[in-house]
Amino acid sequence: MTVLAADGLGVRAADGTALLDGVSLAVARGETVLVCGRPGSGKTLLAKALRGLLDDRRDLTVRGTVTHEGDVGFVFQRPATQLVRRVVRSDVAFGLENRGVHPTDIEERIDRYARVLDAEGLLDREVRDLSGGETAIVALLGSLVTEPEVLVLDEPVATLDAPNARLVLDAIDRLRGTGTAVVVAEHDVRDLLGRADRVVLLAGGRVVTEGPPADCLEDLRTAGVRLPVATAVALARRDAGEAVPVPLADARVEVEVP
Amino acid sequence: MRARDLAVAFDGRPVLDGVSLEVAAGETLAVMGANGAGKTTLLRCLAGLAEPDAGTVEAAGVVGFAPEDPTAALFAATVADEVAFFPRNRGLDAEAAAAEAMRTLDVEGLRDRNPRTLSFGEQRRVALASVLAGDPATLVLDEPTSGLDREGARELGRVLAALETAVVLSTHRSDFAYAFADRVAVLVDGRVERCGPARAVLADLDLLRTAGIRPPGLVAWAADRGFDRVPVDLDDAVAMARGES
Amino acid sequence: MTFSHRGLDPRSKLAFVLVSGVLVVLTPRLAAVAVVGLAVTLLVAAGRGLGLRAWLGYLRSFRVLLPVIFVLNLLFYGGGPTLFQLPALPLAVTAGGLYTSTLIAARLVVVAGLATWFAATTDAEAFEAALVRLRVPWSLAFLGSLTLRLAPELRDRFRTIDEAQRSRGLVVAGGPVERVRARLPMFIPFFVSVVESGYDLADALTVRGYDATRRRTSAVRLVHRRADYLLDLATVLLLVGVVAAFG
Repeated sequence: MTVLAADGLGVRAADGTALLDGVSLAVARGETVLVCGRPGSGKTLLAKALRGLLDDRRDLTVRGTVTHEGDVGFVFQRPATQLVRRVVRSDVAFGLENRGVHPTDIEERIDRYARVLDAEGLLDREVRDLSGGETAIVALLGSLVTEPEVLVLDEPVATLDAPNARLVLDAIDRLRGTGTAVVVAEHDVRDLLGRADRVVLLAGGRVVTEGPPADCLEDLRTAGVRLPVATAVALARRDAGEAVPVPLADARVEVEVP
Repeated sequence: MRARDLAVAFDGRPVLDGVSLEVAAGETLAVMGANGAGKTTLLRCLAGLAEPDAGTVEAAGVVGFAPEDPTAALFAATVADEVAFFPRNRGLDAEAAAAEAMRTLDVEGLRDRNPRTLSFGEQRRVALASVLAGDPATLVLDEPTSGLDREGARELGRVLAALETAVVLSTHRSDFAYAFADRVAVLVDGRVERCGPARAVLADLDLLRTAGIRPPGLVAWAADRGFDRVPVDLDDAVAMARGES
Repeated sequence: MTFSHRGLDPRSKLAFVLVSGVLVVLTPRLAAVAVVGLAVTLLVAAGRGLGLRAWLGYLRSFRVLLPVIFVLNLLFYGGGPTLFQLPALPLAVTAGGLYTSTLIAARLVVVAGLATWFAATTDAEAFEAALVRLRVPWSLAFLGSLTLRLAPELRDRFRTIDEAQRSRGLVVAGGPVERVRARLPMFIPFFVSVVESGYDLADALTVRGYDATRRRTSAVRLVHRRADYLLDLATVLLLVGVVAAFG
């Protein structure tokens, strides 16, 4: 069942340049879709369009449609932008307060989903003391409690250091376990390739390739998207005629999480 | 540039605790460590923007600084004006210095454009050019690779490696440091845990794990496969993989 | 008994700020302003969480504005015996002018002190809840709390820009006009980033469901403790005392 779909989406800047061109995409319930491409390929713009954030922009002309079932959650590239309160618990409640959810239900949902994301220890912390990864998780939680059908994440790991990236990736794994569909826009796919059901490669605002990760590897490599070393090595050997399995991720490296 | 025994504390909490390091002309030093290990504070001390509570920083010549966000300092109407700002303030031949810097960073073609209309990667290069134009003896760069993908980082690395200026940069991208830094200083809890040649330091897996740094791709790959040497590049890795099977 | 500034009921704090603020602005008596100023100082000193030095440190940012206001008012308010006549212009410093300009400057200091104390010791969400209890429309209250939250971020942003420009050789020196002109390369990126932050914030609020429904609920609970009753008492005493003493 499709929970989010873009049909012939085109976005033009004020000076006429096409930032997105004829993008069509469908996300099924519970699916994880990875939108990748080089910086400037339109990933973030597509992510924002999927959440309907381009509707009020007067400097852009938008064609095509975006339809969705249920709510669409969103986590910004800098998640701190969407955190509005001082204490984590209070911030997570914000989205539910806005929707008129009853206070006791608010408490219950926060506790339940915090357990899902293993974020109970964060609830009483102050937002300004959080690390990059923790901020992302709080933003995720704030969205998750509103029980969206789809969550769109804009470059969640690229700017994070190793321990914080690990925190966020673990949270994404737990998120996937809830049956919520996840759309991730990222240029560094090393850790996400193995977590995606489908990959969408953008270049110059257009969809170049789409499909299960294993089917898109060649195109990703040509487009200059950075692949895990093990994947790149196996692809090179396959080019040389050797029949070797192509892994989608490097072996997991142990990183100390504070 | 030489820093000795730098110590900085905020609200009683030590952020830098006895940090010493030095950079020679033409050298690129990468300062690495998990967020909160003190990288940004260290860089700001080196650039003369923060007074350490203890210790000294000696720099031969002017120190140029570029913050993590390249758009922070963009104010001029054209790229050329932006790049000419620093040399003009220093009383140098602004036209010549700006032209030279724009050539080095490959942004000459953008000289009449408004910096705010450029792509992020272009803005990054313009910001760097505008610091380089002031002819500093040392460049201090805070996370110059943030927002760049692998290709963009590679181009940047090549430019930095070719400079005669001493470069001190902070990054959490170990592949970048492995390829383009001469030496790496690893900060853990405000102390320099190790400082040495990039390839040696970044192959020390125990150190990287304690410091919260992800090992460079090739290093991790070799360790995972049980090889005792690290491949030089992808082709070398392919050859090693074949030799194994 | 000591109390924590941050732990006070924001409603009581707001009441104190409003009453004190209105008193100093409306009274024509310098002595009244001084009394209120003393009350505020005692309040700041008595509580934990904001030291007198830190509080006065925040007020330092007015050290440029204050003399300017003082001098301008000195020249343009008149009354009473002339103390000093300016050579070229038809302006004079009079005793009345001196009193009035001191009064205005003192008002500014006390109001600034009140605002600073409130902003430095009040959580955004507590402030928001307080305003809502006072029947202020929620969107307005939220706007207020958002401003409180964003002020430090903007300050940091300006500092980053300031540092970047200084390290490119920007020097702020000379007379006031030159100094402002020199700071242009700092103001421009700052204003641009403020505007862009505005767009980002609008997106962020949309994403959090800001415009979701008309009827909001609130998960925040406000409590009124002993320290709050004492503050309320102090507010009432101040109001009554100043009105009675100074008319």
